[in-house]
Amino acid sequence: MTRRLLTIIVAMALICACEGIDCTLNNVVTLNIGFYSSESGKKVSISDTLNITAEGTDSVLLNRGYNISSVALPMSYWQAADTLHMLFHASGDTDETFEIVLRIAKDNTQYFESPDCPTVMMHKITGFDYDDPYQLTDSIVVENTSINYASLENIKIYLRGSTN
Amino acid sequence: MLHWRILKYIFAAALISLSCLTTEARGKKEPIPKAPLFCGAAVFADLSGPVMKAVGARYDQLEVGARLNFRDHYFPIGELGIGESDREGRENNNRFHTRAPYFRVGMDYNLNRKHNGNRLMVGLRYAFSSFNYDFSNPDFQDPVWKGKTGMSMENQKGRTGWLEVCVGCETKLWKFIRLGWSLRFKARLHQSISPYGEPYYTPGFGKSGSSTFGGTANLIFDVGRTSKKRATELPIPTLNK
Repeated sequence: MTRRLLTIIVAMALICACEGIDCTLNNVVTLNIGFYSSESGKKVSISDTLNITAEGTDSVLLNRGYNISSVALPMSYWQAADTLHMLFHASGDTDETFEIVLRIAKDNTQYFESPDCPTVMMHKITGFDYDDPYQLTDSIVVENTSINYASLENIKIYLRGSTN
Repeated sequence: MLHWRILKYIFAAALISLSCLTTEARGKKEPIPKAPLFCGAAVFADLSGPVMKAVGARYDQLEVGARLNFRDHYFPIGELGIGESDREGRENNNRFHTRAPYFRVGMDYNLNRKHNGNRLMVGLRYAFSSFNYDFSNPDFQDPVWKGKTGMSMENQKGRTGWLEVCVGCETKLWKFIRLGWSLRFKARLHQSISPYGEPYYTPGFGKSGSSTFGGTANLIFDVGRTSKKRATELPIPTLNK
């Protein structure tokens, strides 16, 4: 009995002595956008080349995305709203370019886990608006307002004439 | 899940110890004298806290307590401490700070039926801490939009209550001085924290999480001698042949 108790106590002491860094593995916070067919309602891969830029930064958020069905984009830490420009370059020999502009109003919340883990900014979508002068889309809907570690799809873009 | 499995082992060990001691006593049929109802009181201090502070541990806690002794078996107990953590990230400039009191109430039970000065204790505690914590990172910056640098969140409020299951032993060193240690499994019962993030360390509980382990090394001083013969000084009975 005493030996068993001692074994348990030693095991507990060893467990107490262990320490690891328990940061969340998926600690990237991104706005997730999916592309869907307006006809079938199913996810589709876009055949055009897609570039995405944002107002307030020179950085290109997505460069020459091709044959993709979703994108994960960073959001600004401090701005109350982000404006994203999605430029679709038609495939083939034409130089046609189509643009969709998304305006996303949001609340920004700093979040920390531990001194050893990266501090992140999480967001909650509070308002949404878009311009689609070329009528590429049937509709754009906000599916999930929380932009956090969960990596859920936040926005669904229903494209016209995409059936694949 | 693993913690709960270990907790089951602790309970099992406690029950086995209890049954073994009872069986042993029954088998030998030794007449064990009954200790007086009130066998005195004791105050104690945890020695592990100052050691942790001295070696620069990530957190430390200074703790004292007091307990009563009934029948040399039942020990209602109260513990009070101050927990502190001032911690910087290993690979970044994140900084976490908290310093706050905590308290525990509960009871220990001495499994040793012989009143020979040695005690094998099992116990339960309810513990609580209400605390403020700060978190800052001077290098925090938007990697794409840039803009302002740094973030600082001060006086974030936290409240945590938890249960502790203790196993330990103690022995008499000299007259009224005793030394004991305990290992503790701590399971969080309730918690309210800032929406900006969990505290890295909860005073008295340890690092964040729903459960954890801890331990104490107590220097104990018996006080308040109320009976003419203390339980620990009762003669060990001999068998009549």
